[in-house]
Formats: sequence, structure tokens, C-alpha cells
Amino acid sequence: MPRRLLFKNTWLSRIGFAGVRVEYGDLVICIDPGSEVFNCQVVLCTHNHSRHCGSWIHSTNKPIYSPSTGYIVKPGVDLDVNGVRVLVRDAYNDPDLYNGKPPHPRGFGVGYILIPPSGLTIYHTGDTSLVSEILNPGLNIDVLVAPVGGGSVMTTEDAVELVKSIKPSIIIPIHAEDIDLYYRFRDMAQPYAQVILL
Amino acid sequence: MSLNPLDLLRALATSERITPPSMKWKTVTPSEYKRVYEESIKDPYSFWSRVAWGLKWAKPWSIVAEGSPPGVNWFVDGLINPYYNIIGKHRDTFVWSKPAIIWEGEEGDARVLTYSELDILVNKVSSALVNNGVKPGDWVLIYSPPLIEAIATALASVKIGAPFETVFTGFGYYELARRTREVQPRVVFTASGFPRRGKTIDTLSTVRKAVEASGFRGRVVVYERMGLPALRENEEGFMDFIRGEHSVVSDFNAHSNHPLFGLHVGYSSDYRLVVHGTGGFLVQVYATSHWIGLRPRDTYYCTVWPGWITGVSYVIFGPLMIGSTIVLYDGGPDYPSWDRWWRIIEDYSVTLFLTTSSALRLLSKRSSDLVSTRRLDTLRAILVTAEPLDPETWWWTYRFAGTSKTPLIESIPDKLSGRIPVVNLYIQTETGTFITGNLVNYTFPPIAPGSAGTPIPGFDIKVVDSSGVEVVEAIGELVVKNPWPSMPIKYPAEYSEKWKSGYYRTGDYGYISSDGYVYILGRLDNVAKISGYRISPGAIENTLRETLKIDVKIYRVRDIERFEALVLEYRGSINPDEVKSAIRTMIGAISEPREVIKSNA
Repeated sequence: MPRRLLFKNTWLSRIGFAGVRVEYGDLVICIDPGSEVFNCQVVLCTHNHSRHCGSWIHSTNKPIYSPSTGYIVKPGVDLDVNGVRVLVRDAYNDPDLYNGKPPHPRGFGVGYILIPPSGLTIYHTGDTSLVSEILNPGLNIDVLVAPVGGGSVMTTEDAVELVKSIKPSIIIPIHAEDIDLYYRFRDMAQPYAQVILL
Repeated sequence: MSLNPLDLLRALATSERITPPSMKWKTVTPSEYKRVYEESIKDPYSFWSRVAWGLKWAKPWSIVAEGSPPGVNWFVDGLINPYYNIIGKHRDTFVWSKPAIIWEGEEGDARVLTYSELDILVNKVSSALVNNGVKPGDWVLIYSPPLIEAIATALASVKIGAPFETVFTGFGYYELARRTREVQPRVVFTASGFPRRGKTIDTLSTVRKAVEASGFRGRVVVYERMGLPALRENEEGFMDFIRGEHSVVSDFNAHSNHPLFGLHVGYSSDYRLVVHGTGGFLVQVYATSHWIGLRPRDTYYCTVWPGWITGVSYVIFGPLMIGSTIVLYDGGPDYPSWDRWWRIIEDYSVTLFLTTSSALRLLSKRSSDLVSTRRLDTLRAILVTAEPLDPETWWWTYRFAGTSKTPLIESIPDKLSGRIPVVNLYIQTETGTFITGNLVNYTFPPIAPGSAGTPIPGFDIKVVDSSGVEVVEAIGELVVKNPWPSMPIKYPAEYSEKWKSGYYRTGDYGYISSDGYVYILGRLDNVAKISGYRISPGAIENTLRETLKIDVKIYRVRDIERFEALVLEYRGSINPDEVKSAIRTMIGAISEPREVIKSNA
């Protein structure tokens, strides 16, 4: 797997279980770094499950943006984080799929669209089902970072449907305990957009 | 094994005919193939005229072809915008925002460039070339590993009507200087170096020696691949070269016969320049790129560097004309381990993989775990070129790289029973594109392992005996009986000579089986095919005579892994290591003989 990927003057790399590190110029923003927070200047948490943003977020002095700690964010918010535009989006489980007890209820987590000054658009959907709010981000997405592992997030098939809807330039799959699901997603999604396993 | 073509035929030809499970519903019977093929060569001018409408012409041709070979003009009076037909046409389509190039460096970092970004970069380079006085018809020379900037420089040259020549970095400074003297480029593009198994290959030093040896006075543009050393007066870093204000550069509308690119190709006597024209070449490369299987949604990885015809036709031109994504990698296949290429296929979801027979033979000698543990399910076909693909290596490739994990009807992953086509295709610099091979998107009869497939429609390919009579099921010389659109527009006497009998003699022994499969059986002359590289023995003899003042004799011998190798015998007082070293630095490592013998006679 490539160590990191340069796209429109922005370096992308994987971090933690379901995170991505975004480097633009001297700035390093991490989304859901898990516990690998040491190289991050700013942290965006989609929610506070430990594989995404562990309990350290309560004690760190790094700037934290999350739905529950630090700078509190909500879907619909449009932020400027050190010159990077950050759009906060819905991310939640469809209650009907979880007998009314979703692991990520509405309001618990968010997704982020990052737009560094280079114009690259990176959409990290957060832990979510294939809900209508995520299907049309309202702008062209260059990089889609989406969970593909099923269980508490989109299934592989759901993620492929999202790819078809959003039509990103590249997709970086995340959030699968079973590595086979990355390949399954890759094989299903590749006809619709470029899948890169980072 | 000897160089005897009959021995090679015995090693290659089998009665096996394989229909890969993924091609079960697209495979045609030999008689269906024959009907399409015969129809195409009955009137090749009409055939290629129909194909040519696949491109957009600023002014259509008045005559499909006129003149007699080797001097045939194709698409006479036709005017075509080459850059539009490669990149520009994708504007306002879904292709524009998809990756055009994914580049991975040996160190492990990767870059993505979309078609729209590539267009912006090409415009910057075009503008810089114009600002440096490059005009239509002036040459640009590229001596570089596979880099986004090298591809952009080639396309920028095309955009302004300046032909380019790519020189493989395996050639040394003496060869580079000779090419520089001959084409007289305005600009030379190179890289400061590139990594090879963790060490740096110092490309810039080779260019500097070539500049001194050739008296080149133009601009050397140095891409900062391995940092940028102190530059000389005539040198400029690539980032500085393209910095500043750039006006939008108009695309050049080329007459069909306007020179598009050139390559020096190995003949017995020396390397000679062969130049392809714009209209005919683009027609042929676009059509064959589609036929070999490329589609806009494909991610395509070609291990052949764009210093050879396969790398020019099927990296710089064809895949981008289709709108596919190309993967470039500038490092060694064995770094950090021999699974590097398989990992690239896995990580970037490669759907079409093009490589050489020699490379597969090398890979097949390593542990099969290196490939069978990788997940190569996105692959739809493995295309192989440069030299014959022996059945043993074909089967290894088909089983270990061509099965993968996803079951398909009649493909059983656990039994490595094969799933996707592994096809061998035949190409020469002079033909510009592949001219034989099973075509995933066109005529696909069952595969005959060991063969180079069946002739591609539009090319009347036969085998003739020494008196010029067509033969089937007998060894003779492989010939092309009809002119083809990308016939060279400038060529050496050696090429003209090959048309003397009214048909084009490829210089390769060939054999066509009763069911139409072509077998390539090595050269009739003393040109060597080493790891797929076409090596001129004359160039080695000339260089050693000029520089070391020694007379040498060069012999070809069969090499199990590299297909052929050279043995050099010389008379003189210097020792063999000096001879080897001179060949390595002046002509290039790819020409280094397996054995150098000092003759006492």
C-alpha cells in the first residue's frame, strides 16, 4: 500500500482504524486518528467511540472538533479550521436496520467535508448507514473516505451505492474488521470510480 | 537451447487452445475470427478509413492512402488536432474529473492527477516550450523514468506540433549524444535521478555527458525527482521552467503526415531514427488500444517504460485517448521484494496489466506465494509483449496471476484453474502498434499458449519462405503484405530495404499454424532481443571501434530468462572488464554482453 497519496497539493494517509490524515502545507488535520494522535495538529472526531477518538480527547491540548467534546460541531455547520474549510454533515444509523437501537443514533456523530485552499474536496462520511442525507453532498467530491465493513456502518453494497451516487474521483475504503471486505468493496466499486487501498 | 527457429518452435507450439472462463461468452470460433479478419484485409484501405472516423478530424482526408511502400501517405489532406484527440475531447465528460495518472515512486509515495489537472500541467509546459522558442516541427527529447512530468512534456510537445523522442534511461551517454546530434532538439527533459533498489540512478550526469559530447546548445529541463543539484547555465529546474504567467496555448492542427514522435530502433548496423506521422499513428493506436481491452473505466498498468514503442503507444497515447487511468511506477520490480508489481495491481485496483515475457519469466522463478497471496481480482486481462511467451510461463501467469480469489463460472480459485486471458501480442517500432494478438474487445479466438495470437484485423500478416512464397505450417519470415496507417513517415535505408519485395519483412522468423496462430521465432539478422529490448550489435561495434579503437565480433546466444544474450569477442590490449565498463557507461547497461572474450588469435 502506498505510504501516502498526493492529490491537488494535499497529502492523504490512513491513520487508526477508520481515520485519515490530511496534510496541506504545514498543517496536519487528522480525522478519527484513534490513538495515533501524536503527529496531528488539529483533530476532527466524527464521534467518540474509542477506535475513532479515544478518551484522550478529554485531556489533550490539541484543538478538537467533535459532536461531544472540544469545539462542538453539528451537521450543517461551515467552519474555517486554520484556513481549511470544514463542512459538517449528518452521519447516523438508520434505526429501522437496528431494531430501533442503532449504535450511532442521529445526533451522536457527524461526517466532514474538508476543502483545503488547493480546492481538493475530501468527504469522510463518519460511521453511518446509507441515509439520504449523505447521498448528495451538494458539491463535487474528489476523495470519498467511506466505511465498507457493515455491522454498525454501511455494508459493502451500501458503500458501492454511495459511490455511484457521489461519483468521486477516488475512494479510500475504511472501517472493515474483515480485510476481505476491502477487496470485496474494491472489486464491486472499481467500475464506478478509482479505488485506492491506502 | 540454440537460436535455431525450429528448436524454438518446438518449445512454443502446443495443441492446447484455451478459453479463459472470463472470456467464455466473448470468445469467437476460428472460423468467425477468420471471416472478420479476411474481410478486413480484403480492402484494408476501406477498413482503416472506417476506423479513422473514430477520431475527430479538423478536415477529413480526401484520399485514404496514396503512394507505394515504403513511401505511403495516409489520410491525404487530412487535418487533425492531436491533443484534442488525446486529452481535449474528454473535457465536459465524466473522464475530466477522473484520475488520468496515478504515479507511485519506489519509496512508496503516490500521486494522483486528474485529466483536468493533466490538461493544466500540459498547458503550462506547452507555454514554457513556446517561450523557449520551440516551434512546430522542432524536436523535444525526453530522457526520463516514467514520471507525470515526462508524460506531460510529451503531450505538451504534441499540443504545439513539436515531435518528441523518448530515450530509454537504460541507454548510456554516448547513445543519448548520438540521438541528440541527430534530432537536434530544442529542449531536453530529464530527471535529476530516480531510485533503483534504494540507490539513486544519476540521470542528470548522463545527460550532462551527452550534452558535452553532442555540443547541444538548447535548454535542459530537470525534474526535481531526487532533489535538485546545482544547475549549469543551460539547465533549469522543471518547477522554474513552468513557473509564471501562462497564456492558453492553442492546439496545433497537424497535417496527417506531420511528425508526431520518433524512436531510434535497433538494426544490424546501428540504431536508426524512425518517425511516426500524426494521423495514421493516432488512428491505429486508438483503435488497437480499444481492441486490446481498454475502456474509460479501466485502470491500466504497463511496466514497459516510454522509451520503447510499447511504452510510447500504450502509455503516452492509447490509454489517455480512451480515457483510462494509467499507473506509472519508476522503481525496480524487486524492491523491496519481488511482489512489488502485484502490490501495485492490488492497491490501485488495476484492471489491465501489460508487461513483458522476460519479466514474467523472472517473476515465475520466485516463490509463487508472492503473487498467489495478493488479491488481483480486479484484473480483466494480462497483456504480454516484447518477445515470445513460452507455454510454461504462460501457464504460470494464467494460474497464479490470472485466477485470483473470486470464483467465476468454470474458474476454481483453490485449483488455480485460471480465469482471465493472458495474451501475447507482437509489436515493432516500425508498425507503431501491436499487429498480432487475441483482442479482448474485438476478435478473441481461444488462446494458443506460446503463440503471439492471431493477426489483428487490418494487417495482412503472412509467413513467406526464402523465395517469397507464402507458407503455412512452415518456418519462414514474418511479413506484413499491406501498408498500415502508422507506417513511418521518416525512416532509414534499412527500413526501405525491407519493402523491396513489395511487402514488409519484419526480420523475425515466423510460423503460422493451420488454425491461424502466429509464432515468433527470433531474428533472421543479428539484431538481439534481450529482455524485450531490441539491441543493435552494430551500435556496440561502432562505439567500441570509435572510442576504444578495438575490433569486436558479437554473437547472439539463447538465454533462458532474457530470451537472448550477447557474447562479445575482441582483439586488443585492454582487459574484458574495461570493455564491459565502456559498454555500460556509453551504450547502456541493457547492451552489456553476458560474456566478453579476449581473443588471442
